[in-house]
Amino acid sequence: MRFVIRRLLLFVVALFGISVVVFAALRILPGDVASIMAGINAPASRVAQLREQLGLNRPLIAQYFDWMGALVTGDFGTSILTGRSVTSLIGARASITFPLIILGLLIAMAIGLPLGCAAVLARSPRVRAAFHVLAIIGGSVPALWGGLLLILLFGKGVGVVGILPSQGFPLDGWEQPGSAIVSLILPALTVGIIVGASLMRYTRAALGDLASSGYIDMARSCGMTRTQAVLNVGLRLAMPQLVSVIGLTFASMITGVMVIENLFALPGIGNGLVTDVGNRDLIAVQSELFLLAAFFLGIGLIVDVLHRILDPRLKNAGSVAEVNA
Amino acid sequence: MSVTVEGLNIAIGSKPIVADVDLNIADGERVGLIGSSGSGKSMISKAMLGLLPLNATVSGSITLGDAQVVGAPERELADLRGRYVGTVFQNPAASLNPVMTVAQQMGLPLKLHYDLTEAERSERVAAMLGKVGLQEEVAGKYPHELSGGQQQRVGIATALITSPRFIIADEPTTALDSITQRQIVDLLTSLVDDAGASMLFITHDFSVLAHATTRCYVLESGRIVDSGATADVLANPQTPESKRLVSAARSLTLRNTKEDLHE
Amino acid sequence: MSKQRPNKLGIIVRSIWQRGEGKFTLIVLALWLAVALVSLVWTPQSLWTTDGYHVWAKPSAAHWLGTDGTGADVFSWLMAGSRTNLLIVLLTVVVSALWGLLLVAAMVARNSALASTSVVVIDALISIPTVLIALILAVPMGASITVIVIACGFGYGLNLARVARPAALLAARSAYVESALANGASGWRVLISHIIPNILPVLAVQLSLSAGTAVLAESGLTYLGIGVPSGVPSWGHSLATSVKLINVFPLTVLWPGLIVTVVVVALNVFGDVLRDAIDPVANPALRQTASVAEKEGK
Repeated sequence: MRFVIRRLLLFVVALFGISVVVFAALRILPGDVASIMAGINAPASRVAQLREQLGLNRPLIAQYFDWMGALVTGDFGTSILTGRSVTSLIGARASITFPLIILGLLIAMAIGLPLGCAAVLARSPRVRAAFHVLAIIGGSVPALWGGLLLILLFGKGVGVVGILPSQGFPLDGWEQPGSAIVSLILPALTVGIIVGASLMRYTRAALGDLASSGYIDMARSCGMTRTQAVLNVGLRLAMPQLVSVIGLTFASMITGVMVIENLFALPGIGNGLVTDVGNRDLIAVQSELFLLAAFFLGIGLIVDVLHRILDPRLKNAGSVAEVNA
Repeated sequence: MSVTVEGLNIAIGSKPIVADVDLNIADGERVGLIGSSGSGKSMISKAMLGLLPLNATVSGSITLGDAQVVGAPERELADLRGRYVGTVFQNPAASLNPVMTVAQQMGLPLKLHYDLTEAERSERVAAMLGKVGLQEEVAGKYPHELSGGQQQRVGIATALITSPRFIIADEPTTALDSITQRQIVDLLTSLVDDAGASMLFITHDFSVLAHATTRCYVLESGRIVDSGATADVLANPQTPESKRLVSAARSLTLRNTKEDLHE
Repeated sequence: MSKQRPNKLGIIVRSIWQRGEGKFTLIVLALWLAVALVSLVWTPQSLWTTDGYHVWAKPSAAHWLGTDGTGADVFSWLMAGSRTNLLIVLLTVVVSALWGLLLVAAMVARNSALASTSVVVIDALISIPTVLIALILAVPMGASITVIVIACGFGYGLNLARVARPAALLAARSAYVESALANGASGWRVLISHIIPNILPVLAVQLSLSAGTAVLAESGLTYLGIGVPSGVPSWGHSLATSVKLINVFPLTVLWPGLIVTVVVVALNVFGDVLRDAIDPVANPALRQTASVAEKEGK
């Protein structure tokens, strides 16, 4: 219990720290925020108007508390470029990112879990070596390149078997679910293959440790074959570890798919953030960065506390799966 | 069941662990295999069960009853294990399935080898619990809710529930305190004798060996260096290696006994 | 007598070379270093020779891998990119090693408040993805190598500290550290002479993994416009450029990605073979040196 309280306290402190860092990052820009946002050729009156509108004339401390106060009440500000509220922007982007990563994770699990089991079950040294090589290569492919290769294989217009769209998302969103889903297939496949390789490594490591443990020997001594023991006893015992890895992977995919969203021109959360940074839409950037950081801190908090509650022995287990950027 | 091991060699990777081991156990006989840690005795028991790690290479012959173990397919070995061959492991806390209740664990060999109804199985489990001196309500508990001695009783019960003809006990007492050790050895030997099964008892402890076996082999660096009736080997070791082991064991045993007295 | 003394580094390199995957990783890394050095003085075409008449050109004798949208030679840019990536990887490894070791020192500190606080702080910060840190930095700094190095070094250092903690803690609480401290050795001295040698295998693996991940991160961040600034050659730059080439000469896409993949595989494997080679238990040749050295000492 003391741990939970301390961890909660730290969460609040870390949130505060992140908010200060994000706020400062935007204020130490050379020049002032208003003129950057207004653009190089904007008339001075426009800059002054913007400065007034954003409260940039007020002292920094006051600006910080304005921002924080609004955040607490759920007002994340307004994107200057589009005139839409950050909340609705994030909502629209999430409606693309979440289906993408759910689809991607499903593909990753369909690839990674069976291959990880097969790597442990294989008896021949050659086959084991082949799985080892596969896992290493799968974890070394840059996401961008993996996506490009898939476009070259299946992308409409360029691909060898050009059957799938590789650019953009329907403008009317999920109005026509069919075409929306189809536009997510190639990007989801790219994510799925890369994350699948990492899931395969985790499964192989967790199951492999268990396969040489006394639990498996015991099950086999009762009359199970090695395959039966690994699949029944091993998988069941590896379950908590695998579930937490899959959970953390899912969270990390929100920003992990940034490059893929960009490559496939999907206006998702990560891609939108990069676009806003590029457009100098600083109020939106400020809130988005803070919200994402808070989200990840929150996930970290939940995972840590859950681990403690479920198993006090698990102090150093399961570091966050790195979905490569 | 009689057991014959001839010219057994085991290597892990390129490292030889066991060299040219001959060993036999007559039907109904309790035979010991003693050696210091790292001498390869556990590898011999694993080879008998077909549980060696994947990078192990085995040559020679191991005959259990009329089944040849070396080179046999996993499916055939699995049919032997838990049905004709029971195994008691060193550390029950690291071998009993932590997410299975005692009843599920003990019922596993029955479930895998015999076509019984749920009721028949729990009847057998209850009877076996009684034989190893555990209360019936233990059946619904998980391993971590039991003491070390109770856990090992569950281990023994699981190994013996199908009335196997051959028992391999791989350091079954090492993880226990000395008083519980004696109880467990007595329980195991009496159950094995009642069933008329034969047993290979592996240990590094001569006092346990004297209790549990009538005949023994001394293993040193993967080779058999001495063998004979347990009492003879203990009283009058023949080779320098076994002399050294026995004298080392004596001083250890004396110290242990003193510690016991202090407790 | 000293001429008899076997060279430890030589033994380590030789025992890496003896393994198939060791050969592969040494060759790839040596090639990388060589190309990076050569590119400082020579590339087939000047990086800045642009040719408006030959943009998006297919491979030819003059342009082995074709040209990009400004008519610059793709092969030359890839060669030059290898030195930028080498620099990024080396800096990232140094930053994450120093930052990670600092955190390790805090986590095994005698001061229990410091130790427990640092453990919890690391647990909290480790959940923030590298890309997000890079984005926060990129807002004021713009695209730069510093962004990549700080973001990666920060994240990988946290990871390193977390992974190295158990071994470091074991070493820090061992009898020889107790006696060293009792004899007046300072905390930093203990860290350098007792704790770091004990976590060397973990360091070898983690830093090699970090090096590989840094190469991947460079390509991603540069593509997103927050990594290596435009005009600076890097593999990420070449990869990002090849995206636009896809309709003209699709096979050109293969090279930058292939180079990155091969190098990252080599770096990942390097950690494993290095760990085995520097471990006296796993490497008998090293054990012999140690015993020879011991005898010579007597």
